[in-house]
Amino acid sequence: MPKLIASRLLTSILALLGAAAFAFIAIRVAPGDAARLTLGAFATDEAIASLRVEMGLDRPLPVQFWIYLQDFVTGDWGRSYSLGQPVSQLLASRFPATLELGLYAFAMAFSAALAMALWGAHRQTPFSERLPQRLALFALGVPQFWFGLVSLMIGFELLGLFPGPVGRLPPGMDAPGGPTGLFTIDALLVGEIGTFAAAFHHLILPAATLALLPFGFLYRLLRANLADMSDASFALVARAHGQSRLRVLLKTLLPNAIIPTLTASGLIFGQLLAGSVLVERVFNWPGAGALVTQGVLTQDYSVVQTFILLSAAVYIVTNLLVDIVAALIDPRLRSGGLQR
Amino acid sequence: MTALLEIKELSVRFGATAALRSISFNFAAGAQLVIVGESGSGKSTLGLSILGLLPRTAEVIGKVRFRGAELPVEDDRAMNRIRGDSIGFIHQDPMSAFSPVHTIGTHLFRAFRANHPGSTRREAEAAAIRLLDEVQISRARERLDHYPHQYSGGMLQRVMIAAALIGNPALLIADEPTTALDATTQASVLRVLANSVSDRGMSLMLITHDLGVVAEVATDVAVMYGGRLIQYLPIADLPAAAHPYTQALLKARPSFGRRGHRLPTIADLLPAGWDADA
Repeated sequence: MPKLIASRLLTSILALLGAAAFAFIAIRVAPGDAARLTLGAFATDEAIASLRVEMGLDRPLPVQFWIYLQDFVTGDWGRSYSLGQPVSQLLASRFPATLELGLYAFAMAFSAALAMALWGAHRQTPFSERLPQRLALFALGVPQFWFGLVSLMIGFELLGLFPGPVGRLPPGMDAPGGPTGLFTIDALLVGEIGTFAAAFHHLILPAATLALLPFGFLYRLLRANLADMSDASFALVARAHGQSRLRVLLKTLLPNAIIPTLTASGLIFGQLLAGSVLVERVFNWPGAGALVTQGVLTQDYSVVQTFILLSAAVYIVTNLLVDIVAALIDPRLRSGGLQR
Repeated sequence: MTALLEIKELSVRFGATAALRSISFNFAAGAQLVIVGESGSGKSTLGLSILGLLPRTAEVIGKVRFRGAELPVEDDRAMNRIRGDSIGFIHQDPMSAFSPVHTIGTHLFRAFRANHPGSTRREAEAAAIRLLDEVQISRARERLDHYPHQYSGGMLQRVMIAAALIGNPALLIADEPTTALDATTQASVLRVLANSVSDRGMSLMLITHDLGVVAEVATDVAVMYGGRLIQYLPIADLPAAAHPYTQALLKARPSFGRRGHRLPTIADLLPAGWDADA
């Protein structure tokens, strides 16, 4: 086990370096000049040259890369030249919004997929098989922004059950001052139940919209793996020992079937953080998606680089955790590879 | 002797395929019945239908009475109290009969707890160690924490015997317990099984296609063909068995005495003199 963690940590660091290099190169090979874009079409050549020096763009690329890595590690993430604010400040408000949305969406997708797959596997009636299948097909097929708009029309306009697209909290309500930037958690930490309820209420529709696609995918994966496992001899033998069907399903089949779903979950969670731009736009969610899209368009190096690296870090840490959990479940994964 | 198991006109169909065709026999308490037959003759289906563990697609007609009462094969909860408790089961492939992500101890504890509701972990552990000793697994306490992939096939099959014995059943159904093992391991596993069965005075229903096994443990032999029970007789009568199929099975057995010539084979069609609708 320690060997596995050490080797995964090492590959994680390499992957992080790779992500850093990719972010660094990708934005530099894109056409356009950052200094000119920042100052606009009417800036003098001298002004642009002096901004290039200030931004460090006159230095050789390897030196720029080294400075970028050093600065990232020390927390000096530079300034957004188009918005005129330090990147750390921009991301400090935006990234937690995206993270909180992603966490809730993932929790919804995973628990719904788990519940539906177990229900279908246990009941084995035409209804319990078909209903989740149809739901998953719908979830995989429907465009997220469309579902988001329809859910707003029904949930907000028609029924008035949910708040409109006003962001994370109702207008006029202050963010709970807490350490994490995740409003529901911060509100609980400082004991503001009203703020918690409001933040949670605002999360439901966007999180459900974002959860659709991963739900469909995770349900199908888990259901297929459970079906494979239920034919396994060890399930028959456990039943022959007098264990009930439900007990065999939960205690024997599920741990065997869930590992591919966990691995996929790690990948999906990373995608939720990076791919929620459309949903954020529909719900006016003040997340990092809009900020980064803007950053790409204006070649705002610091914003884009930092976001890519931050996403990569979250992605890599998530997958490291998934690997450890999978190895805790399956002893054959502990030595780093599958035996026999 | 009273009948432990009475099977009356038991038929099982999987869609259009008849796996068992109206099987009837009485099985006396303390008997050691060996059921022989080719692959596909319905031997395994017979074992699973007694346990009520056939796939859902199976249609079962007929009655199985155990200790004088009909088995409630439709009532899964009631059957859970009988499985493991009264009727034990040993699967043919030890390599796939254990969940790879659970320790051997976990398997044994769960089998124990299914038959001893409300028991403590300490009791389950004591029972597991006692049974592993019985099936001759050394360093039992330490090996409880090992996973199936750390065991050999022969050891796993002995653990499976231990798990089947943990509820102290009156009848043990062993479905080809030695097929997946090599010859030397087969002998030792069979010896462990035979010893446990005779020490406990249990009844054994051993399903096999290996007639060599018959002589070692059986008191009775049942011969199956094409889903039918074609003969049921005490072991002593086997050599003189009148049925042409049984004769053919016996002749098709390799032995050290007769080397150098081909073994007789059994044709697809039944030997002459056998009426398929009898």
